[in-house]
Amino acid sequence: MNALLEIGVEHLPARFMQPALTQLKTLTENLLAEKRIAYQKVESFGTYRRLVVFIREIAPKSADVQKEVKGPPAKLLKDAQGNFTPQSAGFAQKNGIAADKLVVKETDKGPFIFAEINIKGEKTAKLLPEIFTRIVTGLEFAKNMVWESSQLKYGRPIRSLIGLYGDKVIKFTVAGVTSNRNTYPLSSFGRKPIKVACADKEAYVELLRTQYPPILVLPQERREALLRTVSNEAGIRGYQADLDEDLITETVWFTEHPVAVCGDFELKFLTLPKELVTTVLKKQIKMFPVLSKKGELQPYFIAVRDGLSVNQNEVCDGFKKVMSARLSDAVFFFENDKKEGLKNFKEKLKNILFLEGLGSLYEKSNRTQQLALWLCEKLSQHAIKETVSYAAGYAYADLASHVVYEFPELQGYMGGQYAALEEKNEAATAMGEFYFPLTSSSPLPSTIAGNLVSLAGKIDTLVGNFLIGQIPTGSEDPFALRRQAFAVVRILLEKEIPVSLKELIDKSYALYPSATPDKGLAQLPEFLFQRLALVLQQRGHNPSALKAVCGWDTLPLKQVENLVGALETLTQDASFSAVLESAKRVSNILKKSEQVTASVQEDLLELPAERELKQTIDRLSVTVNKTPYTTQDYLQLLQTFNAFKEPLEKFFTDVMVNVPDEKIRRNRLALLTRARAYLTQTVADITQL
Amino acid sequence: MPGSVPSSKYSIIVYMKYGMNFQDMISALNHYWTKQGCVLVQPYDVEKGAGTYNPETFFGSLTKKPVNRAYVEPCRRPADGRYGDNPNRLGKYYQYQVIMKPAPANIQEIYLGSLKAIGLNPKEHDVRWIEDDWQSPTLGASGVGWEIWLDGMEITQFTYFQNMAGYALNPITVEITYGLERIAMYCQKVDNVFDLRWNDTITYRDVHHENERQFSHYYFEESNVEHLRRYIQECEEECYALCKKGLYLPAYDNAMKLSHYFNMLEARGAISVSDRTNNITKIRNLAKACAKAYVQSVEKQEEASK
Repeated sequence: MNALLEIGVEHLPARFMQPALTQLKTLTENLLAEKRIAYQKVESFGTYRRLVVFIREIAPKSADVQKEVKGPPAKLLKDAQGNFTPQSAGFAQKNGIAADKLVVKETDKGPFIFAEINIKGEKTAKLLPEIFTRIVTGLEFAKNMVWESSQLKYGRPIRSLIGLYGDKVIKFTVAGVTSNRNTYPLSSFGRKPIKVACADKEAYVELLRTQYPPILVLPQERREALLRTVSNEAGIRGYQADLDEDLITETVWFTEHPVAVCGDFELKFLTLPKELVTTVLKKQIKMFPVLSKKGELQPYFIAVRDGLSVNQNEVCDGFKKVMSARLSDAVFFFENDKKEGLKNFKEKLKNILFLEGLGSLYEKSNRTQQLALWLCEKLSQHAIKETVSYAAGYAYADLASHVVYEFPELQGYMGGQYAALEEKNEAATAMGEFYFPLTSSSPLPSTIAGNLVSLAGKIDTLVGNFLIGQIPTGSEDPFALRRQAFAVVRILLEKEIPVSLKELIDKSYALYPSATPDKGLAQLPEFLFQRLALVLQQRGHNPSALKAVCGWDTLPLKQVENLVGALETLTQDASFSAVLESAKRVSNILKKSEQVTASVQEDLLELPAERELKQTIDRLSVTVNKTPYTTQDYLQLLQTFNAFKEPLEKFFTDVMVNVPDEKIRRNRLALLTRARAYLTQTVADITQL
Repeated sequence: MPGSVPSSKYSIIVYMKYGMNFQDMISALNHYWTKQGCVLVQPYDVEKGAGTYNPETFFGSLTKKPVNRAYVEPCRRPADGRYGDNPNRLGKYYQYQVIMKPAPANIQEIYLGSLKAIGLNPKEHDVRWIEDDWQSPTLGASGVGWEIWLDGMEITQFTYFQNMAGYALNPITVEITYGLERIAMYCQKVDNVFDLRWNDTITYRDVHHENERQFSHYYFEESNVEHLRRYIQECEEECYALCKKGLYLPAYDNAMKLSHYFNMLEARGAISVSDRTNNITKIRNLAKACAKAYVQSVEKQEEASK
């Protein structure tokens, strides 16, 4: 037999839906496990007005339990008067049996009291009311409300409940609603009950699908219907719909039977920047834009209604009016912005605070500009200096525009549009991509100028936030600093920018007024280090090798990656691994011994093994210069470490470090200290591998 | 436009073609909500920014007593005035407000019935319930609910109050607020609010245009900032003094007035950012003081009746 639970609710916000359905499944599985009821499968699905759990092939009874629980020693069973002691009585009660059912059994530690527990399985039908109640009340939502006298906290009011086990109704009551077998039509189509005969998923889905209007209770089915109806409306006009994934998901969660309505809008709106129009459509009024095969915006919109395709013309007129009003607002904002221009916006930045205590966005713009120009110098990118200067100087200007005030998600993009209007096309591209990458895996700015400006802005933001001690903790990261740090690492690495993070942070810090108090800038390198580890991991590296890199923040990140790559290769090499083990041994000995800073005295080296180790160190003093090292360069460099293999092994076999003679002992420690310095400080601390 | 208003002898045809006139719509809502058991009360005679400020709603939501009310509420938003030149913006407009406590279990269905009562059959339109959790920092109030879109246009705010004046509420009041002009514009298919037919011979322009024009001048140019600041101070003093005496109703009138004067100062551009925050806190504290005086008086009555 199967069981089915349907929670009928008033319209849940779309954003609550996926978490609710995931929880429903887990909650049910956990409860069935707790109650020891076997089943074949638990499924959860539904719409924003009905949350459904289906349990396929649920066992008719919960499992029996037979077990023996060991209690206190036998002498505590009864007192002198022959009464059960508090200990034995308590033990019996805890295990849910009468005290006179306790038994005494011999164990290898003497006689003990035992409780023999023999729980008979119960009928599933008897357990389901509690299970269903706890599934319903166990759901948690991002935001809760109360609406009736029991004060249950829930996403939205519960208005109906179905509890079915086979064809029997399982009676239970939550928030004043008692279960039955009734579900109800779409919200605008009355409350005439639809009776569900039995707990059969396929029959239930079909029953709802064959209503008028239909209810598509399976999210996947609804999604397919949505894509079909929207694509169809665009297709019959010879176009395609902009099937924005976020909008599709949202629409799936606020419809039960999606029906598309297509209308047109005035051509004049097409003179607006494309993203502005699509943002108005998608975000403000939740409509799909229509595109030509080449991706050009067409003067149509596709709205989705929940229900039937009746009275489409009038509904369409309504949507058209709303859309036209919203686009007229957009035109108004855009025209005003055009009149004002970037120069005026930048002036207005003087009145917009960047961060508490760190001045205005105007000052931030100037720092960003200087930092970007410094990067140009560093990279000898003289040809793009003018572009970089313009783009960085006006990068934040659009934040003072009307359009971005109304549509914050268009920041950057609108800046690019306004720069293009002033015929600064290269700067426009850089400004349009200023906030790139928008997600951890999305593309970086497409031009070198764009990358430098974007990098400068992000470093300045990170430095500023860390200066005032606004450092992300746990899940708290309101300014998305993790994402920005991730972007910084990606740009430096993927664009192979030959500047170290330390230089960059120092330069950025130097651009802040000298009186700026520092409440945490020292934590920024570690913060970036963690992002670097993630990025390297995504690029197929083993992030633990990163820990071994000496002064990772003083090297360009591409070089760090090369070194990490070399270290990874070398850990596969037998000789190198032997050196590595010896190096760890050296390190351990030194950790346990007194510190010796004196240099090694040749005349105190008694044994050949000591002298050999010393010669190896002397012979190998490699200097590392600043020119970029490829992975191959690093490999060659690190392979020189292999020369330590035999001398170190021999040293450990032949030489006793901790000898009573203080002079000899200290000299040997000095020798090992030198060896360690070579092995852990040249380019990488290989004992960290 | 007045010339093009159809005369009343064609009203049946007009009705079918253009939907209800403004006053018929209000009558239809009155009739509908009366049938649902609401007491029909008249607008409260102190200026306010929204129907929620009406004492029926403010005090009504606070205690255990059942409350069912319906009323038209004129709302003043000084900063929204446009001298009667803007087709969509008004400095004074009408809300239709319903409150029911406890909220009936079928309140959504009842609401949809009200749309039908004004000629909008929900089955023939797209009625969408968009998550929108209302809050009023000045009343110290918040609620959970939706804005309701009819074919994409926002026509109603539907809220289950959760807090009022800082009090967690129980039982819960549902508040339904219709934007009357918007709905009427949709039904009558007009693009300019002043073209709305108030009845079949008179337009919204005839009734309100001069009012809009004059009050815009007053709010934006002529209001006396010094006086307003003084009124605000006087209202605050009076409100607290009355609260102390348990006269929460006149005390609350003073809080409403203060709120309106504050809105006027804002329209005049005489409010800085920090001023704004301070004044909002000031109003919230007054609202809390009034609520406290009311709740205490109800508790006293209950004790006395024991």
